[in-house]
Amino acid sequence: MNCTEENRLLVHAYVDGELDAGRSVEMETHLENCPDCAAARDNALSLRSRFEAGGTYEPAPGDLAMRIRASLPRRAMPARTISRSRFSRAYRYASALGGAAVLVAIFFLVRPSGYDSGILNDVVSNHIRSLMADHLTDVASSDQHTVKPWFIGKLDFAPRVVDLATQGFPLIGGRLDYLGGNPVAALVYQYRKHVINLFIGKAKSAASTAPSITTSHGYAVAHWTNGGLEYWATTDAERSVIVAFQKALQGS
Amino acid sequence: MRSMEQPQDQQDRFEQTVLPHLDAAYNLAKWLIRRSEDAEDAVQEACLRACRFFRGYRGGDSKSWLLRIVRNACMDRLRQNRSRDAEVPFDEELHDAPLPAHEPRETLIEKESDQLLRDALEALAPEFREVMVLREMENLSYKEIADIAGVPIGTVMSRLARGRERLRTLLQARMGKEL
Repeated sequence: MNCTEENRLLVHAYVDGELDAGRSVEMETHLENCPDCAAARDNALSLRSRFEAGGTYEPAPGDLAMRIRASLPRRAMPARTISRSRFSRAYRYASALGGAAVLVAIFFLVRPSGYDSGILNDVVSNHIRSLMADHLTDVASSDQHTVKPWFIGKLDFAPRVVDLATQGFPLIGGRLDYLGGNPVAALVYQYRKHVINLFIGKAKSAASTAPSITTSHGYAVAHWTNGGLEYWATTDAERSVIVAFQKALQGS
Repeated sequence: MRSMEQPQDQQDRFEQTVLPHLDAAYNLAKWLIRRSEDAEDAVQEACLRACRFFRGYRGGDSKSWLLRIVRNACMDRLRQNRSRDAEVPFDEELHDAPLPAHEPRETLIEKESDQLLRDALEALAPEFREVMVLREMENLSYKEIADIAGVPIGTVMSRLARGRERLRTLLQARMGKEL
């Protein structure tokens, strides 16, 4: 049986989640009746799971970032400029002193409307910084009974720490971080090759708020409050990942 | 306000726009070009171009923006190599890379699934390999892939269709030789 050229192509759009709900349902019906298209779907899914095993990803050499930095046209450092928070200023000094981990302060010129853009900026900048330096975690463990007590004495609240490995988001560890000058817990999760940073701070009120998702500089950021704690989660993976992560966390 | 930005600030902003996507950039370059040194050179060159173009970057998806520059740098290199080797230019309908040369039976049996997949991916023409890498390794949408590769969304879809069919043929051929 030969199917139409259109269906032959649309099967792939279906597998890749590119069809709207209506056409997806039509395709599913079609797949029950068309062995050729079903075979194409099965092949696509089988390839996908082989790719997801991760063995084909080519990791960048460890020093590539450094070499690229070194090759970029350099300009003279100006006199000390005004930075956003005490924390980023300290790192600016560290880099001026030639520290091995070069960390940068962030100057945001585009302000998203209707949101505390200062905190949003800090969330994304903290996330980026955690990826660049050797500073992803200070306590590296997937065991919540190891990570949670680590924060005692460092924070005046107890962050909620759960491992979500069964939902595809294993806990990697934690560290202390700052948002808007206030100390927060930063829990690091992994999704495939991506890092998710979950920042937890003390909420201003006991009220719970529904999660909101915004995008800042290409990074999806989720924000919500619950149980006296305020949460921000961000990743460089797609928006749907942070949505799924937030749901997994909520349901745990 | 942008015109008052200090050069160092722009430099910093450029670095933190680009450096988080270095792994994705290298992965794409390595799969398109294959030789590590050439892939590194291509990524470096792409970053220099990105630096030059950075004034024109208006925010938004920084990963796609960078990958487009990386992809173009790689395709430029491949085109140079192709003209040097006098290969037939890419034709959407016709172009199929030949199957890899037959290997001794014992080697094939020892190879793992990953290696078989890598070999098969390598055997695809770069234009097919490109969309497979961006879809299956970077999980990008058709729109994002279309923006990076500079082709219509329909072309992305048809290249994925052909790429997947071709991979199946290659993988079955290799598996068949094991039997």
